[in-house]
Amino acid sequence: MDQEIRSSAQNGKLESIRLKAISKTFPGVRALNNVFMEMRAGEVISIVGQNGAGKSTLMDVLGGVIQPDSGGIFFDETPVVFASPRDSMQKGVSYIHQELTLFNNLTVAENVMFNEYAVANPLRPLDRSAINRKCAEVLEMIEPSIKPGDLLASLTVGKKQIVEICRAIVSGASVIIFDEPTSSLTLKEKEGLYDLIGRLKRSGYVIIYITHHFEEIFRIADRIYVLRDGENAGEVQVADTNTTELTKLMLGEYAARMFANGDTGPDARLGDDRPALLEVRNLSSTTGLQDIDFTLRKREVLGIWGLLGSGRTELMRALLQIDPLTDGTVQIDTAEGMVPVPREFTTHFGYVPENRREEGLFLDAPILQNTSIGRIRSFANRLGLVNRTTERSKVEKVVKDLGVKLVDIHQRVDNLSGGNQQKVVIARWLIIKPDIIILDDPTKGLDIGAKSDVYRLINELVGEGISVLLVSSDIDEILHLSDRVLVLADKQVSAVLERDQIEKTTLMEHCVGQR
Amino acid sequence: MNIPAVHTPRLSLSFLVDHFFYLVFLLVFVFFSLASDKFLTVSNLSSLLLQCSYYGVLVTGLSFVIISGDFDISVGTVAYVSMSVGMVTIAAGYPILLGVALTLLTGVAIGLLNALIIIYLHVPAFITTLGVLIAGRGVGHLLVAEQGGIEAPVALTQFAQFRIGPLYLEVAFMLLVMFIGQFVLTRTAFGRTVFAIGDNEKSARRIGIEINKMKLVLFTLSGFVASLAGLVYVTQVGYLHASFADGWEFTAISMAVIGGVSLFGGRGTILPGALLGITLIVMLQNGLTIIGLSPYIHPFVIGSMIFVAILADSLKNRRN
Repeated sequence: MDQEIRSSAQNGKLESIRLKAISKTFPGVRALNNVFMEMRAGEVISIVGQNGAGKSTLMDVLGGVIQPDSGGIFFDETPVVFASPRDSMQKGVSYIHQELTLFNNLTVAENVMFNEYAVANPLRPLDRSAINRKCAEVLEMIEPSIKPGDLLASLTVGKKQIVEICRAIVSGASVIIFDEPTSSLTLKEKEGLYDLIGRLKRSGYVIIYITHHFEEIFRIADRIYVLRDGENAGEVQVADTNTTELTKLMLGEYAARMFANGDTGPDARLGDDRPALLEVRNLSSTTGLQDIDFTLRKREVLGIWGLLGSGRTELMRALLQIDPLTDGTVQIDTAEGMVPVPREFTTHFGYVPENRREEGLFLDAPILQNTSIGRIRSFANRLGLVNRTTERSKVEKVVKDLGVKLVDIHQRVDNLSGGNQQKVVIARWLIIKPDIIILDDPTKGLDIGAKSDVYRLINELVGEGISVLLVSSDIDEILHLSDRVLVLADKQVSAVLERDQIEKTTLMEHCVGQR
Repeated sequence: MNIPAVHTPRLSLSFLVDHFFYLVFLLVFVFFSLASDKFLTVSNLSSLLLQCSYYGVLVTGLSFVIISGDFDISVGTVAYVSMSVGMVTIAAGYPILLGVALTLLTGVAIGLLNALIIIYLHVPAFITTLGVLIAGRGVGHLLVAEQGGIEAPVALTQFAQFRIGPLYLEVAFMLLVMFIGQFVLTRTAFGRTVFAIGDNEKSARRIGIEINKMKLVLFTLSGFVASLAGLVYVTQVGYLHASFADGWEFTAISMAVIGGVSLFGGRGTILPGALLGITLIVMLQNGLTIIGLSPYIHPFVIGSMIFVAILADSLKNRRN
């Protein structure tokens, strides 16, 4: 069974890769600083770190997507330079991404052999039988149940991933990087993948495995590199460590950050007896959410914390009825008591989406229109005619209250800074106060000054009686602002933490599925 | 934040891009006025505007669709089919008003059909309306062309004769329609929503705008307006024939784009923008004929104009 997986395309056997003192600076951000790593053939290396720790940048360096400012990559002591993704691939580095990069309209063999016939020599007539034969050889070693002539679209996600791995092997890969490879696999498919990775490892491939899920790391990795703020934070053998140690390495000692002064944190005086505003019971959705149960109280900031793919965004979309629910109820407290949330979400919710430029703003339009559009009906009479005087004065007031720095409200919103753009998106909902504001990663891409402005704003909103659902991928933000935190893992509620239970380690433990 | 000073080179380029067609319009106008003494006369200009009138109505409806980021290329066919239904009714001896009502109703019905296909079958608007453009013309031919065409009743054609001073009644009607269009576009919640969808559909969804409802209204409106334009046209040509309103869709889209309505959605005006675009094209056709240039050159000149307009639109879009 444990046949060696090899490909004739591999140029000799690679013993090790070394990354020496890799540094990379983006405007304003030191993404990687002096990073060292060594990976040996026949070993599964896992790289872990918080969002923004530098994992993706490092993988982009290996994949030839970006070039480091300094430092070098060595294959068996020979320096190599990856000028482009294709260059890196030709030198033996293959990527298995979260989203597969296959063609559904081609057969398995055409996909597996794609680099051989399509890239290497696009004008050569397609020798279908040769392609099928070569592909069959690889499939034979890896997964005989897949046939070269199968249409890719007819395969399950798990099998498609195997096809992608086959393609990597056929192209002569000696280093295979897996990036969150299990996110869309079934339990059985996951097991199959672990087995295959085990065989690849014993066949002498260098395997790099990136995931947020600790249990996967402990299942298949041999050694772990921890990155923190773009630097090496530790190197541990899987056999000698545990989740607590890893978490500590990832987060670092509790650094006193910009929030140390504590003057903008949640107001403890409000107490925990605030009445319920929104009650979510047994919510399940077509997007995979299962039995979500929680209550949002009046005048509170409920943090929603979870890793990428934990269901954060799905939950927001379900609450706003963008994706249909399959089960459960969402009720809101109104003058008539608890009633189901109406179809038109803007009656109770204001929504500030994650990517303000793509999903929040109207870049061609001025500040005035960008702000008033969210509540445009409220400025219109029965015929739909907008009262421009009230529109202007209300927008001017709310924009001024939020401290948007502008010349005048007819300025194009595109010309504002990121922080001011975000304020415009928030201002939109404050023309008529909503009961609830949903903020999805509200400080993404903002500098520290703009961040603290947004934090102050959130506290002011609560002060005015608005409840806030705060989704964030920044753990400090969640820690700092939330009255309570709902932790999601695998599209389920993993914990609801009260104020005195909110700590980094608890948050991390609950979100990686260590229950 | 500072507004960039007027004298920076970047701004003068964008000033050129933004106001390019005002300059072109002026140049073309002056050129024809100098090149021929038949161009700058009251009678030529008023007949020129008369030719603009049905396009003006048509482009008003279409501009709403384009500004919302979509396309409706079925408008010529809609005008043809709805006129066919109306004319057949009138030819069969029913009252003229009924014929007119049925014309408009047919326009609404086809527009609604477009909308329903786009919304519920998820067929892209361009393909849906292309299908209707082709198939609909067949339906019109069945109704009309087999009889070799239908003459419009005098009760309708007389509308093309009324004048207020040098201004034809139909030109006044066009201006009224365009004025209403522009008003709705900029001053109502509906119009603002149209701009929002065209600017960024994702953002529009995130603030709770129901895109499908908007599409339903927009395509139905476009159908209605197209049949209205057909009515205006038939009063002028007096005859419904197999090539009635043929090719309107692309002429109309070009006129809108030349007038600054962005193919990418989210930008544009009906007044003065689209009107300027319409007048420029009609003026070119008119002037080129007057100065005696071969009619085979016209499409080349007008085509080049359209190309430059679309190029300018892309440049503007890239600037963002």
